[in-house]
Formats: sequence, C-alpha cells, structure tokens
Amino acid sequence: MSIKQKYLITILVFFVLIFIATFAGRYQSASGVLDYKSDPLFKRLVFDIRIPRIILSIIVGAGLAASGLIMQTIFQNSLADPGILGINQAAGFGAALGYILFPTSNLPIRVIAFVSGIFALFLIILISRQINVYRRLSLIFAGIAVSAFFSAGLGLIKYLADPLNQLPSIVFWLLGSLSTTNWQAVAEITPISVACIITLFLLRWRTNAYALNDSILHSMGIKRNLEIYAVLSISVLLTTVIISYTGLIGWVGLIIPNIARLIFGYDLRRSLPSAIIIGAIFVLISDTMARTLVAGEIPLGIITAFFGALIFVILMFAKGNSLQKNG
Amino acid sequence: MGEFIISIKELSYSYTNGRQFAFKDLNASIPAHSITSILGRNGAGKTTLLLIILGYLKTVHGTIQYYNPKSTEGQKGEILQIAYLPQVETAPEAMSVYDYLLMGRIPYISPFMQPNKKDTNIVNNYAKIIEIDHLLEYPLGKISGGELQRVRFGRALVQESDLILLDEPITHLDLNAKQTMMRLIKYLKSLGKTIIFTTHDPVEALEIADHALLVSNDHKIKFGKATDILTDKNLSDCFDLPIRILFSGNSFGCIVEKRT
Repeated sequence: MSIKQKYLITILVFFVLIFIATFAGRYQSASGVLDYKSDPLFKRLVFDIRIPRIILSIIVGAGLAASGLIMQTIFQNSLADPGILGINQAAGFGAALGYILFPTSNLPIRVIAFVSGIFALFLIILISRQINVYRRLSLIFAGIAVSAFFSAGLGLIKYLADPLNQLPSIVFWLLGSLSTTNWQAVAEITPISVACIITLFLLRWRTNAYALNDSILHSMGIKRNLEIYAVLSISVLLTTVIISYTGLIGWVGLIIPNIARLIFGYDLRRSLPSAIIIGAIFVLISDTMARTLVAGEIPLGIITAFFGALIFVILMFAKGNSLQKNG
Repeated sequence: MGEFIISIKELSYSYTNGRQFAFKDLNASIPAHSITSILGRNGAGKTTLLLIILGYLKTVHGTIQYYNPKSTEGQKGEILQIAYLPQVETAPEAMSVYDYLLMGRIPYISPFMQPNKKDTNIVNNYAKIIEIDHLLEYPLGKISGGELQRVRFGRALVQESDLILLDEPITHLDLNAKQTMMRLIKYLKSLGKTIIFTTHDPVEALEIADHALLVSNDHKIKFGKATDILTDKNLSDCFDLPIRILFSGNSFGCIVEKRT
C-alpha cells in the first residue's frame, strides 16, 4: 500500500469517527438522526456538549501524540514521552496545588499546572547540564529525578488534602476526563495548542536531525542547544496546556508515535502528520466510549491506559514477528 | 600551491585549562584541493584536532583562519560550513538511507521549510556516483558496516562543503571496502574539495594523502608533505617501535621490525 493510500484511509476513518461520535450517546433523538433539527433538546446536546467535546478530544489526541513523537525523536528513545520526563507529574502536582489554593476557580489551577510543567522542563535542562554524560541519556536521568520529585509532592498534597471535599476532585482530575468540556474550554485550549502543533509540523523535517551527533549538527550550522530546547519547550507547552485542563491522560504520547512510525516510517515528514491524525482518532474513540459505555462517566485516562496497554502488547508482538522474518 | 584553505597559527589545546596540553604551538597551512592526513597513536588527540578545525572545540591559544578558495582575489570569504564525519554516529537505526542522506541538505534549507525537488535530485545523483542507490530504501540498521560507512560518506558529500573532515573513515573496513573508501576520498579531491582525515595506519596516509600531520604523544606535531613526514625515523619515534615502510611498485607496506 502506498503512503498516499494509507493517509487516505486514515483520514477517511477519522471523518467517519467524527460523524459517529456526533450521534453516539445515551440521548437519542426521537425524530431520527437526519431530522435532528426538529428536536431542540437534541440540537442543544449536539452543539453545546458533544461537538465541543469532540473538538477537544481531537486536540488532546493530536497534541499529546505530536509532543510524544517529537520527544521520542530527539531523545532517540521510543519510550520517551512527557510522562518519562516528569512533565506530566509536574503538571499534575501543579494542578493539585492549584486546587488546594483556589478550590473555586478553574483558571488558576490551569496556570499553576502549566507553570509547574515549564518549571519541570527548566529543572530537567538544569540537572542534565550538570550530568556530564551523553546528552540524551542525561536528559532521561534528569527526567526520572524530576518525575520522582513531583510525584512525592503530589503524594504529599493528596495526603494533606481534605478527604471529603478536596481529595475526590484531585483524584478524579488525575484520572483524566473531558466530561466538563464546554465551548469556553475549547476557546481556552484550542488556539495555543493548534499554534504549537502547527509550529512542530513546520519544523518536522529539521527535527529529524536533532538525533544526530552534536558535532554533526555543529557542522551543519545548527545551533543545537538553542533549537533543541526551543522545540522541546513547544512540546512541553503543548502537553501542559492540554493536561492542565484534561488531567493525566497517559499512553497517548507513548503508543501513538510508535504506531505512526510502524505504519508510515521513521521520518517525521510522514510520521508526524500521521501521529497527529491517529492520536486524534485514538482519543476520539476513547472519549466516545468514556461517555457512552455506562450510565455514568468512565474517566478518559482509564480507557486510554487500558487500550494503550493492549495496543502496546500487540505492537510488541508485531515488531517481534517482523524482526524474526527479516533477521 | 598559493591557496591555503586553513591556516593554523601557534595553536595550543588543553583538556585541563592550561595545566596539561593535548598539543602545543601547532603551525600548519593546509592548502586547498588537497588531502591531509592526521596520523598518530590512539589517544594522541587526533579527533580533538579535527574538532578544533571544525570549530566545535574552542582553542586555548592560537588562531585558525579559514579561507574560501572559491572567493575572488583579495576577498577572503569565510567557509560557511564544513562537512564532518565522526568516528561513531548516533544516527537512528530505523531511518532510511535516503532520508539520512537528505539531512545533508539542512544547511541550505531554512528551518520551517522542507527539501524540494532540487535537493532530492542532489541526493539521487550522489547516491548513484558512490554506488549506494540500491540501498536507499533500507533502514540504516539493516545495512553492513562497509555500506554504512559509504552512506555516511554520502551524507557529507550531499552537504557540498568545500572542506570535509573525516574521523577514521578507513581504518575499520575490510581490505576491499578500504580501497573503495580511499578511491572515494580521492574522487572528492578531484571535485576540488579539501579533505582532512585521521588514521593510525601510515599506509592509508601514504596511499592518498598529499600532506601529513604527525601527532606524537609528547604533544609535538610535525606537518609537511606526506612523503617527507612519514619516514621510518619519524614513524618509529611516534609509535615508539622500529617501523619500516616498504615499497613494491605503486604500493606501500608498513612493517614492525622484530627485535631479536
């Protein structure tokens, strides 16, 4: 199958899923799908609840997948993602802290989560510069340390939080969910996320090269530290903007890039656009399941983790088999 | 030999901030369109010297000036970029040979742009010349060591720099691949490029190099015509072994005399 055909199929699946997600739900219009305009409740449901939620799940999937793929490419490690580097934990810590300090308003929670994520990136860069070993490895080391540091902080906040009022909200947020999505949230998250995704998309070919030796980058006239940290900062911004709203949605940034590379090849010119679409598809399916499977709402993070782990195992089997065949 | 592409004056480099020198007071003028070999024992600082010429490591004392051989008289343009081939590379194994070669075009393409038809033509053209066009679709991890070396060489070629630095490009190859690589380096020279490569095998240097930089472990460096520098005496001093260079027709051999 040619690359073009693969893209065509992926995009087709994407649009079919948007259509299905729009009309899937517990409330079904009495007058049928095509005649939905005659049912005012259904119309409101679709336009005020389902469509913003669909838009946001597309942004979440696309953003987390793009961010994960960029980090995996730069660190040359197909397990590296914002989770490994501690960005997720830092954002989680920030959001929990924000919730304790400002229990009634949403915005400060998001701002603190975001600031905390960026702070984690600074810590990672600072620590990794002091570890005088191989660059990519030192960043992973720093990431593990930062991750543990913020996990400890998060644990402390959970321990100190009011078990009746505060703890359940923190725990629910940590599980990740899009259940409170409205147009306002879409308006807050979309512009900055889309700007980040477009920037990463435009830089996709050059980003390939950041995996090469520092000395080669130097010979090519690339200001390596400046460029790599700039691209990493954009990825972190993208991740924290998303998870400061949605909570911890794991596995998207880890699994989707691997699938995209497996189907569309290593080069970011092809794997980045495909990871963006596949990521959107994955979260769209997961979120549609989250709101339709049972009468209540299953936290999205649980579903992405469940299917993420499942796909991960299948992926490993597929990779193992293809290795046996070729080698 | 009027044109010098690099002029090194009084260059010293120290790993330990001036207490211990990797080398001291190096003077060398490397002419354009020539092949220079940096020869020395393991750990003598060959790679360090190459990285200093690249501009990746900053010098403690002394100056390096670069001149662009293509610039017109009286106008000493600086070389914009130097192609470099390290000894070991961290290139991703899953990347295809073609995509890898294409990265050589990075200096010519602005960060937000993608390579165009002209760039892909350049890649295809060089791939044909160095006979790696049958490998283009393979991932880097699935080709042999000799092929990988040629592919890496191809990337430096695609970069189209006037000055090309190669760190041990020949040493670890089999006899046949060695000859291929030496032929390719001579081919680069015929294109008007200036090549500097490191090695610890005098034979490689004598076969293809016009000039030699002999790095001894006592941090003294000898620079000059390859045949003047790579004498039995100089090599014996450098490697601390009784070394003799043998000639047979157009070929060289290097033997170590057994002490009896």
